[in-house]
Amino acid sequence: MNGASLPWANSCRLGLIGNPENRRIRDFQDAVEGLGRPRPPCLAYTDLLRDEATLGHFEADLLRIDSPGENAAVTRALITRGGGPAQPHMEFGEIRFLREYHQGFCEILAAIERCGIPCLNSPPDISVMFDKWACHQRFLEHLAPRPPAELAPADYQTLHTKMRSQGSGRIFLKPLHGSSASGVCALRWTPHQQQLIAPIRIQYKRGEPILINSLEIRTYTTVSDIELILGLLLPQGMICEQWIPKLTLPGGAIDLRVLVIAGEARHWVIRQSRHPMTNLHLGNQRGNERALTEIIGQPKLKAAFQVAEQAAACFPDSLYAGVDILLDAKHRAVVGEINSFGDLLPRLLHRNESAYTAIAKSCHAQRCAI
Amino acid sequence: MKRELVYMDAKSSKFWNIELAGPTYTVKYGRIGTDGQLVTKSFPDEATARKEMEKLIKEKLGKGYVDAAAGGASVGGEEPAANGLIPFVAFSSINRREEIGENLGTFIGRRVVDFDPEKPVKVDVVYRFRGDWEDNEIIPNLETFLATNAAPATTALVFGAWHGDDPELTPASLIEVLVKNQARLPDLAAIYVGDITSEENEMSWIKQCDLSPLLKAFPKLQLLRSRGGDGLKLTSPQHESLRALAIETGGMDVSVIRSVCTSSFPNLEYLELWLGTDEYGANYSVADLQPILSGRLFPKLKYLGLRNSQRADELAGVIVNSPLLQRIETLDLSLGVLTDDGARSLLLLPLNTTLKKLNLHYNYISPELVRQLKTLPMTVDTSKPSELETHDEWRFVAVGE
Repeated sequence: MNGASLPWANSCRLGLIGNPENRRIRDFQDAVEGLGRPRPPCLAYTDLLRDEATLGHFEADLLRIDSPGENAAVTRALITRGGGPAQPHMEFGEIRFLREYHQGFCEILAAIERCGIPCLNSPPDISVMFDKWACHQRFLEHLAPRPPAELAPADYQTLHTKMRSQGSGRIFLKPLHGSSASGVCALRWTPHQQQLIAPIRIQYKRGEPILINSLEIRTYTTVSDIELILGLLLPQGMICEQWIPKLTLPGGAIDLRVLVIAGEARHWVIRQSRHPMTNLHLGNQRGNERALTEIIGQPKLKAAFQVAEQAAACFPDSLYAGVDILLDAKHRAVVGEINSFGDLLPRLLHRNESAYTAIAKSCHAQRCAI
Repeated sequence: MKRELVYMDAKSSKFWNIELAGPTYTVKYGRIGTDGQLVTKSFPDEATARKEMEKLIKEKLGKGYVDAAAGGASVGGEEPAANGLIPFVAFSSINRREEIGENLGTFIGRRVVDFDPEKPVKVDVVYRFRGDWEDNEIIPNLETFLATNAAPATTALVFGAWHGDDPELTPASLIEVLVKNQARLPDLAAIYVGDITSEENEMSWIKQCDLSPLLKAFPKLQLLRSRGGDGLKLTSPQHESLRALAIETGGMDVSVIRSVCTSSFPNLEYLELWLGTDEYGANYSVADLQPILSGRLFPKLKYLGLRNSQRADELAGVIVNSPLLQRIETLDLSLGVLTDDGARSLLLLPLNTTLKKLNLHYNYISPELVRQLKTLPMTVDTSKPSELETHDEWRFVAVGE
């Protein structure tokens, strides 16, 4: 790869904000270095959370904000920052304080915004992408196709009354401020039975039930389990989406994760599962591209990429975003989610570039040349 | 020396022919309806070639291929069912546990396509009709199709998620439309009521209804397949030419078994019942199946499948004494909770059995008993998903949870 030919303004120094021990940071640094550019420094969330002034000393002209996830100390500090307890006691993987965590993260994003350094993905865009209801509104404004959705009530009883009055139904309940599949529940019911499918385990801590984010997807069928789970999740804020039956291919139901960079759908992967959640970290698999194109055909696949581009275009101040595209039985594309940190797609190449290399190249072409 | 095999399931329909000439064999294989591909391999002498050929044939039989002649299918390059008869092998649909979660790719060996009123109709495919999460147009779409010239030539129809967004909806109105339009479908030979994946609706939640109006309305029917046990009825179980009946449930109500046991299907060759678990409505006892096992009911039966059953061990214990085993070719106890107990019973199969194939796919049998089963004088499928190799405590049927 010939880095010298890139339109890389010499004055432009890229800096990363993230958890330096995370592979996201390492891999991105490697990608930039691979282009023949200096390894970008990383400002750790732990440092930023201890003292926002560190931003002022950070020598960068352009920032890439990466995920604060997968670091227990950062999680706790964000919860505290967002109005949670000073020492939040949490079990590993416990689904709790989602609102406070989000609030804390938004405050950090606001601090980054205040420092005035331009960002690949703007802090306001990132905070909207981490609020599913705000996201849904933004998609509706821009006419991006979405499943019908509404804010869920904050208590189980109200939801239950609503379910009963509807007779039967099938919905996804997603935490307003959750990340990946954490706390996401697929719920279906008839007057006689109910089923909640979620990567959640119920555990007891000093006699009190808590919810643990589990890598195993479980099915709960008793009213008491479902009431317990939703009783703990709904008060943290949830969005209620119609559960559209996903297209199934040999091996299970699928959706697409499409990485849109600078307006163009680039790296993509088929996520396949026998469960309603297709997230790859839940033991699901990448689906077969040929099987998909054989069934839906190139035009429908193109249309799906266009919907992904349309979703990303709702966030004009973001260079890239991972968009989850659902295909229904008629192969029509609908936006599932959008994720500012949806670019962790290791070993996936598009035009012979990894996702991180493509982003690194694109950020120089798009921004630094200005 | 020549052998012609075919394979059909919910996804594919393939042929595989092998011919030995001196020290060389030639394999011709491909999708039924195409010319296929040729592979030729030569050996130092004829004996070696013959040995290799036999090895390949055994491998294919183990994978579920059957002899084309026995399967009633024409081979390589021709359309199946030229004589109007559905090939026997094409009656089966779900062969592997993992296929339960998928919509049909093929039905009676032909490609399944969702009917789209905006596209020109084809005659070489099987149309599937299903509802939609946005607006359920299944009935109008079916009516549109029935008005086309393709309808009178139609031999097979598939019905998927008819319930749209209301899982309580039965296919009754769908069936009414079909019955009302029976004159438009004079050649209808195969119907599947319930190509519904768990992503669309759980098998045990699917609301069924009385399917016997279909038997009455379509005298040329050869295959009736359905999925879902809740509300399922066969109030008038009789048909002169029905060759195959397949009922997939998560739990079968004893009334359905009684209907089958009091039925009049004199030409039935293929009977597949998914019996399920008590939790999902199975309330039969093995004794309720006696009329079937006694062998009196279906003189032409070649295949008996008692699948997805919690009581597979008990069934195995009774079935080894059934006179059916001196008549049928395939016994299928797959997808259920079959353990070493059931396997030990099966080792007592009569020596003069006519069985050519014993399907025990998805089982809880130990490696030692699998070894013993493999010595039986027939093809024994003991394959299982990897998770069943390790988990010992929970024994569950393939469709239940």
